Amino acid sequence: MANVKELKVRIGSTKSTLKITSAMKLVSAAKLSKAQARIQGFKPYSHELDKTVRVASALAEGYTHEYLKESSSKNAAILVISSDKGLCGSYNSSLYKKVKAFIRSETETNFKLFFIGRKVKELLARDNYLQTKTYSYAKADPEFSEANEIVTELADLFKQGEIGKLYVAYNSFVSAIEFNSTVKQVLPMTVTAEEKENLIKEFPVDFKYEPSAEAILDSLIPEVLNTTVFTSMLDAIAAEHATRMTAMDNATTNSKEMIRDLTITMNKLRQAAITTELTEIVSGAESLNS
Amino acid sequence: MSNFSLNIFTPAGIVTDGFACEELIIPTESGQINVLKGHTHLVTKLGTGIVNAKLSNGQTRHFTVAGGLCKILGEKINILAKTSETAEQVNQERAKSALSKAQSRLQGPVTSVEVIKFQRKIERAKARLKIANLK
Repeated sequence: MANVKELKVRIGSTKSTLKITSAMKLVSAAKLSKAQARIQGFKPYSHELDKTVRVASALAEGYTHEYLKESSSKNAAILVISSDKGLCGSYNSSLYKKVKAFIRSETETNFKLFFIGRKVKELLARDNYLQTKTYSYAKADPEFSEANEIVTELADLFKQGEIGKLYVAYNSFVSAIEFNSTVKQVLPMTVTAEEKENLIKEFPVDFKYEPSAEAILDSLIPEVLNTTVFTSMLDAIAAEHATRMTAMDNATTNSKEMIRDLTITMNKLRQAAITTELTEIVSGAESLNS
Repeated sequence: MSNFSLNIFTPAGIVTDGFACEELIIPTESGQINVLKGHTHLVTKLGTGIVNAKLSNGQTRHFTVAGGLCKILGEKINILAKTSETAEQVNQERAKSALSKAQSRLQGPVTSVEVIKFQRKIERAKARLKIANLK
């Protein structure tokens, strides 16, 4: 059984942990609201762009773009977006499991791995998967132009035929207490025949294209790729802050509980010590009197 | 009831959403177009310049745009621009310094790719300065 002094030290250290976790929770909450605002500002752009391109490519008959073509290559690349920092619950481990399961399920394909954020990279490094390159961006949050550079590099691999498919693996933000680990195919962009039918029904109007549908699609399809990947990055960042906030909230609650338990134990011990001392004094006095 | 509802979206955020206007002048890649009531459905590439939106009270609102896409579908006009600002958002000092910097770079030795890059920068800076003076 620990003594009173030891317990006092433990309570002290738990209290400082509590201070750190509650501060981190507040920081994450502020960062989360910023990240959410960013993604909400970006979504209309990417959504509208995606829709326009889908409609245009469905309506423009016989149009093909190199990003739309299926490739026979057995190689594929995954861009894994994880975090650089820990203390965010199951954020990284869950993504790691998802990526690993995905690679196992696609036995026919050779995967190259690209990383943003080092946590999942470190986890996957133990399993000896082929790791190719790690990207990082200048600040904590990515700029659209920085995302574009990463995408251009990966898309070049696709164009040269080195990879036949490009996936993005990330945690998508659902709510402050929930995220989804997702592996999403971004290249080639496929529009199913059924989807095409629906789009044609939805937009029966005849668009006029200036200068031409092909020219517009040529310049927009790379932009769609950029926005898809950038959306995933923003999503992952929002999910990271949300998970960290929840994890820190739990840690704060646990610390408080621990402090309470330790204090009770300490008080009991102290009381027991006082009782023993009193009994000793009383019995000592009694033996003198008799 | 106004003729058009204008949306301008950029990667950095929403510039305007459901802005009611009567008449528009939009800079496309192949020149300015004037959009009046009953305009045909159109998808076009945007150039760099200023979007003028005429309100029902005769006033005009201005937005800078640089590159992207413009979609006119019935009375809905969606502009997806790489960058876009309202007159209030323009930082004149920054635009001025960007303009002089790009101009001085063009004087020195440049590749043909850089020429296009700096010319675009000049166009953007000029549009910004122009809109700031239109306020």
